[in-house]
Amino acid sequence: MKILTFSGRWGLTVVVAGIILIPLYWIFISSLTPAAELFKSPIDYLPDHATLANYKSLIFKLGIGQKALDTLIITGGSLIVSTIACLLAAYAFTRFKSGWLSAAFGAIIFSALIPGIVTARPLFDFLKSMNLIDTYLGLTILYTSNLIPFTVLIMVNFLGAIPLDFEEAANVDGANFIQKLFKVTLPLMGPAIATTLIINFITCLNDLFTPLFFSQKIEVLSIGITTIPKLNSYMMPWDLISTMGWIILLPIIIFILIFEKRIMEGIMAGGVKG
Amino acid sequence: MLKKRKAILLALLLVLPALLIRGFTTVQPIFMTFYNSLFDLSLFKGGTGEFIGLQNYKDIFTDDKFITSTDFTVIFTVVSMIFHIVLGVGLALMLNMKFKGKKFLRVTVLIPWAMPMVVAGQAARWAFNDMYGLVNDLIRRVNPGFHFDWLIHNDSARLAVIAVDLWKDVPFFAILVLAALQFIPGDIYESAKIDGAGKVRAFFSITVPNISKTVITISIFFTMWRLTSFDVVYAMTSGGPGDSTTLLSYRIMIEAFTNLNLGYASAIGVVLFVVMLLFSGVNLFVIKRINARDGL
Repeated sequence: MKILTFSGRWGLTVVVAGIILIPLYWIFISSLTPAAELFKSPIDYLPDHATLANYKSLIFKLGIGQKALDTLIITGGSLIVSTIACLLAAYAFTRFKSGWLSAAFGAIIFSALIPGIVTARPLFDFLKSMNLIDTYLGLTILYTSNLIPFTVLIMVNFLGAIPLDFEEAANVDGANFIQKLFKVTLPLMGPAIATTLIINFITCLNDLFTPLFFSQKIEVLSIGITTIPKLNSYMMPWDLISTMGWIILLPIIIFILIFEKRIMEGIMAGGVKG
Repeated sequence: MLKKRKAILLALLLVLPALLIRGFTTVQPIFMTFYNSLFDLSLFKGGTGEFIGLQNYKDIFTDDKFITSTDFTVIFTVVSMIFHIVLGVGLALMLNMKFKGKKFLRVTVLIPWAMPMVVAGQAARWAFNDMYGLVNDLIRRVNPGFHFDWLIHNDSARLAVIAVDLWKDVPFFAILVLAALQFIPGDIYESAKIDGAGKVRAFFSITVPNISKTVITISIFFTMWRLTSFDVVYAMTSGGPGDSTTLLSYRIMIEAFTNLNLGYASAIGVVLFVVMLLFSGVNLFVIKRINARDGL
């Protein structure tokens, strides 16, 4: 009976892991295979002539460094702005009570229901009229806006669970609002900030929609994979696409290996309430 | 009283940055979408720019392309959701097992969730290729001589799109179910075991009632995400073959950015938005009912 459970568990694990990892492994070996050997059947799962040539041509011919840098600038900017804005908002939502505040909270959460594609065209025209299309500023605003509902929700949940005792003690000491926020509340928010930063970072890397519709010249990584030039309309440039895919995957996998626990907790915290 | 008013003012000031950024990217565009949907704005076909009332909405329901899109969006959502629930709960039970491979399994299932759909979609475009793709290569190891071009036949292309959607998102669904599983105290199972209940019995009388609330709520959210899915089709099939995998979001993009038929695109957008509103209404209603049942 014990042996049965044991092999059952591992059997299932192997099946699930196989379904997830085999395609990723296939992308990986494709990226190491010289283009000439890639387009043959059956697939060679252990490439004979593994090479980094595909990576070199991506870096030197297709300027992937610039794309990575653009991604980093926009992601970094929106992470900073969204964290600060949502922290302040969550503090207000959990520490003060008024009809206006509940309305504001409702509006922020409700706005997440509007499908991006529904407003894409008018938003494009609106941003264009303000010369924000194809600018770092415009993209950062859009990315930040995308992050706000989820971040506010997580931080409100977290702050709501912190007892007010600490702040009341500070009140007695005559601390003003700013001192309370920075000296008492902020240090307690560490885990919530870390969790939202990690998940938001992944959200930004994943975003295809925003860069697709609102920028042409500034090309982030997620879009970059779709714009690799084709040789002809029948063949995909799979050598370069798999390489680009793996360049995006590698930091994500490293990230997960380091932050597995925190990411799991973050997803669950957002899910149970939301 | 004055102090209280001052405090509320301060609170509103703190909320302002988040509210302004969010408002900047949503208020004007959603208003314009409703407004535009009442005008003839087909830039290519010499649109007059005139107010035409509900004509765009009338056109929608006689448009074959819209009907095909709706048809596939419904199939995609329903089929994908059935498998999400079945496979997602199964995977969640696996993730909840206490054994040595737990950490490995959890890291593995996080990867599809964390990677961009566009990478999965682009890889899938090639994986379902007849000659060089991964899928047929694996099939040929068991059944040599198998040949089938998945993405050029309507039904198999639709199937492939759903498969990729499941590959990417079932792990996420499972993690959310796992959260609910972890709230079930272990000693309930212990006492059920003492009372002589088998594993199957324990699953249906303890696990299912305890996770049903979570499964229902997240299913509503996942349904809404399926209804507005875009990336998978953009990266994998470009809506083809023909229009058979053109999800509604993709249809709106074609009308708004390729055909430059702004009024018409807005009308489809409004319909989609109203459907989303209905679903969130259902969501609120269901949560209320469940809470009432649980006596909360």
